Amino acid sequence: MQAPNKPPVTLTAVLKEFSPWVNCLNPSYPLNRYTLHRNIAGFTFSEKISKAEAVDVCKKLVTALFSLFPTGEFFPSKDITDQEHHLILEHLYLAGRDAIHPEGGIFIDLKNNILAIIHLEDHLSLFFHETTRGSDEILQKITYIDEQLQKTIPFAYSELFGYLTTSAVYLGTGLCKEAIIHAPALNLLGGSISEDSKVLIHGLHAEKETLNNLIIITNKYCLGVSEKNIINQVDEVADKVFQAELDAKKTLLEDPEKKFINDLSKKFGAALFSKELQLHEALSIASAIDLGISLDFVESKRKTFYFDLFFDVRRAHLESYNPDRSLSVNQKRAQFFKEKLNDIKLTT
Amino acid sequence: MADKPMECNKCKRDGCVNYKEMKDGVVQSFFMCKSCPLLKAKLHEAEPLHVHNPSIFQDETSNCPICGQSKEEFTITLTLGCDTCAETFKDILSEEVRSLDLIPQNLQNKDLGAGFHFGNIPKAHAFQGFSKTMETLHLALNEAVQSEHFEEAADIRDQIQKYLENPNAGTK
Repeated sequence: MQAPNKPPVTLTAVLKEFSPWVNCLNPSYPLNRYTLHRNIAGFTFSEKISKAEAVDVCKKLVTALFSLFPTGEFFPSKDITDQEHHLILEHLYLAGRDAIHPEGGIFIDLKNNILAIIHLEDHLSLFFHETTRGSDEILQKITYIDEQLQKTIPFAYSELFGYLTTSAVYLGTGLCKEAIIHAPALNLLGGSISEDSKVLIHGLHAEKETLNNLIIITNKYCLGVSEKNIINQVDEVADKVFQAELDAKKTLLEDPEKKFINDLSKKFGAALFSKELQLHEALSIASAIDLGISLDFVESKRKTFYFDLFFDVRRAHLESYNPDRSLSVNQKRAQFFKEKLNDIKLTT
Repeated sequence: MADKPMECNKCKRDGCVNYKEMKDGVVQSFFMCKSCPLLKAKLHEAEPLHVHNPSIFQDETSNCPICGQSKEEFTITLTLGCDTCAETFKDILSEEVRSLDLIPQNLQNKDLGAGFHFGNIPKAHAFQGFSKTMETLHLALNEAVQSEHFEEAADIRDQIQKYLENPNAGTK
């Protein structure tokens, strides 16, 4: 008897599984993301590459990635639908201008928590997500993977500028670290974050305002600093912001602001009874509920509410996971949000 | 959360200028940082960049021999088209990494010959660039000590030690 065919693995399904932040240990500091940019020596970089060269580069990288991570899946660009493309951009919070080259693709290994995009801006963009604090371990992992790949693929390198990337911003180490912090208590109490010349502090898409209480701390330099220094510099500032958020929560716990409790109740009501919700409204409500959980004003079994639905309430996610065409995106968002509130109740 | 990215379309720094232009009846919008060479080029469209700095663009034979990128294109976009671009445009790139604040303050006045990079290096380059790397590290160490960045100095000292023990492993 013939074995039943294995159902095809879809990118949408795999991306749904690839959500390391859901298991984060701390809702205020859920995630560190590391991106390593590399180009293969002797090939034109992705922005100017010819079709034949692009195919060759992709083949080399996919072969090397599969030899390192045999349990991975590769999704070539030509098989990725527009909706899935938007899903990737949302899921990896890449700016809207980034597009994967038609001869590139996305490699995901759920088992090893590895995601790589071939031909995004550089030939290879490797993403590492870390939900626990262990910078030394992650640096060892990144270095090991980089070295293993270089056994078969020589990466573009110059003694003057280090590893060569399309954008001058990533020249040198090609390593970018982003610490993602949700700081609603700090914002509520009007706490400020002191500037640091070695890092950049911004919102999700590098905007100056940190909307919905989300703060991203990124290394300012890739050149002239070692990988270890990059990580230490971001960690140093991230730890300070995280501590400031914990202190702010402590202050709120000792002396709860009536305004916040009232605001939380209003938002909770809005989430329960809204027929339509816009993205900023949904995230603002989620942020308040998350703070409510931390302060024991809200009862929930989940550790984080905000990051549980941070990506899922976005347009492409809602459209992908709920294909009902009779509903608008805002209606789907309200419906989805209501379902998420099932096991949550206000205690104040 | 803002759906629209607010970052420089080129260098990904904070995009504080929203530049809009109409071409063939279509409005195009660009976010640019205040020091974006693309913005400078747009603002001086009536007077192209080479009018302000004629020495940069006069020699067309100095285009990148591999990807064909011109000096003008490179100066505006500051993106590498291939690995040879780094060597072809090393003078412009060296100036730009300083002026765009892409290297730490303590390296701003560093001699170009020693190189800007002191992170991991490919194993294939480890022996070839041994003396150059050591020179870079020692220079960086001196500067870190002089500028009283002792934490950084300690990290560089560790790198020198590791590199001396095993040049093949690259610096870390």
